[in-house]
Amino acid sequence: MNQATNVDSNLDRHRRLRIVCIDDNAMIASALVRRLESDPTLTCVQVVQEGNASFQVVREASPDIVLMDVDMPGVDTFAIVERFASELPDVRVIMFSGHVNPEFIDRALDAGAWGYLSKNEDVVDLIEAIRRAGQGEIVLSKEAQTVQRSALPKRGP
Amino acid sequence: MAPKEKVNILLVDDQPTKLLSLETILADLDENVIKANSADEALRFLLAEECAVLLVDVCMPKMDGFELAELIRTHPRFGRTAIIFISAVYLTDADLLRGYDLGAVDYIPVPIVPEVLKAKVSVFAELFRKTSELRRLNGELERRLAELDRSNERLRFADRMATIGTLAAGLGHDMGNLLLPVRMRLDSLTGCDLASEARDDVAAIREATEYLQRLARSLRLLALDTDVEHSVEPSTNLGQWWRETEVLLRNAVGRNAELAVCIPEHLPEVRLDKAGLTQVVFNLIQNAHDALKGVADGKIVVSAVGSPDEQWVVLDVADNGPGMSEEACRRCLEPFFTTKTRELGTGLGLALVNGIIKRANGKVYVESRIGRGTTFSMELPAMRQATEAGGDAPTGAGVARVVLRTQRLRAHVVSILTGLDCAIAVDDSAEADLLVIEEDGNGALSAAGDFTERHPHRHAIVFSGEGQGESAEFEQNGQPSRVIRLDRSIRPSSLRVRIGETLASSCRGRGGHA
Repeated sequence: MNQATNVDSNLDRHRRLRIVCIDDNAMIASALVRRLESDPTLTCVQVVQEGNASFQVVREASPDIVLMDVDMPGVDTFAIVERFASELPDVRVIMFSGHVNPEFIDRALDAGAWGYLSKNEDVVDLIEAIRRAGQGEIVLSKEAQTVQRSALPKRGP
Repeated sequence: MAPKEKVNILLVDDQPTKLLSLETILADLDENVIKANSADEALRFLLAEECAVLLVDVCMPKMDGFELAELIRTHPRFGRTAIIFISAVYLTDADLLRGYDLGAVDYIPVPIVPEVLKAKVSVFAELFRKTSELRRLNGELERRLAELDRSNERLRFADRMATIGTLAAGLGHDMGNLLLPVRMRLDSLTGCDLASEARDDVAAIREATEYLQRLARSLRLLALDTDVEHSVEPSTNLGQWWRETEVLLRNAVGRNAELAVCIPEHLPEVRLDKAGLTQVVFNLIQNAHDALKGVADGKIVVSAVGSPDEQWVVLDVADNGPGMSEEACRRCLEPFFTTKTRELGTGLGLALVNGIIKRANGKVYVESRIGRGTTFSMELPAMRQATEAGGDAPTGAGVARVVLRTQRLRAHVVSILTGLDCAIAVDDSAEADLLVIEEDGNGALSAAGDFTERHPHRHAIVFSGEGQGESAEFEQNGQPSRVIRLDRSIRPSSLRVRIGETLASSCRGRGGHA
């Protein structure tokens, strides 16, 4: 039964994972690029600092992963993720935020995101999560996992 | 309508027959009619009871009606009593004027017309009743106003707290956000080939950054509805925590005071994260240190002790400083309350301490004695100790077999199960509690049926084509089915709930049949 485990037929495992970063904060965006590029298995192909432009850029760049800030001025990022999911289903969007609450996580996953990461997480764990999403896993950073777990209805004895 | 409250009508006359006739006339009014044979007796009654109307015969031996009225009027207590003079004599204008001068409301000549007397007395009785009601309402109004004042004060306090919370949370978020690029750059640097001095620099910057990150997190803790709040499932081993933070905390003490620590090793863990605990103790130690300025052998003691039932751990931070006044002791947990000069204190430290401890469902107690010192005690809920036996009770986690081809669906299912601490079975032979399978002409439904048949606790989830609605459950002989059908396009948030419920049923069943 293991034939489907963690093997992504779309992905050549020797190729760098192509990433587009969407964050309106230039300091975060540039640091992300620098960190991603320093990893031999990852590459950041585009950076977008403006939500409305992101769809066009992503369609053209056709990355494996889109790392998208949840709080972008003037745009509903969840709606954008929904559009990615329906029109560019091969692109995996990971939402990324300083705000981690159960509502946001559910909205992100329901919109079609492949994960929700906290900006407060260790950088090493963030990078690892991006890599795992590339391999076809739904990724929730530690903080997001705890948040989601605490929001679960209490199970009986 | 509520029955009227009877008022007192006092009749004063030295002649019992006249008293009796007055009483008879007034009986219809249904009030309390009291008879007094002399001014003395009347005064005795008035001292004990409030009286609405006083009917006084002017002509009495010893003290006459005028004298009684004069005496009564000098006393403010009787100000509301209406005085009516009754007289067969003294009916000149001068007598009438004297009577009114003394505060009489009426002067009734004998022979009395019963209807007129009744009418007059009843007006004054009613007036008295209305005035009493007004007074009562007034008192009520004052009480409510005072209450309003108090709630306003509480509101202002809550408002201030909320403002601080918003401010702190905003600051914490921005700090957290900006620390991310710093941490990422540091991380990038770590991979570079650096000279050893530079490596030391990077390590030092990293350490400072980590502290700032904890601080940012604590700032977010001050907000009322914070993201961090949801993620509180923390537990801290106090001994271990102390070893990690000792350097930082000892730095807060400086040289002019001694810091003694007594934290036993065997204490249960507390339900509070390390950063929060650090903030709390850091603040308290700083306060103690400030209090000890100028104290010759200043000493700060940090100690912890567990409650006998292991439900609580009490953490004390005590100093032998000058102590606090009763007011300071009572108010010190309020935001902006400070006894320090402004450069030294913001008045926020203890409010922050209180906020963090409250959020962890703990309590803060302050005990202080002038000249002896101050102790802050924090009662922290303890984690329940894991049972030594390792648990025959179902861990609740269970084992699931996942047979799904749709990659996205599989990813979600695995993520949800992992989040529920459920193990994923790698082969057929495993004793799974739950089967998650997808229909694609592979007889998934009958496989699910077989799987649930074999063990009465087992459940199966079968995903099938899109557009069938979110879920449909089979009925088996009137029993709710243990095969749950879900649509492939189910939203992840609903999927999480369904899997959670199903897994719980499976594990409950297993517990019951074990």
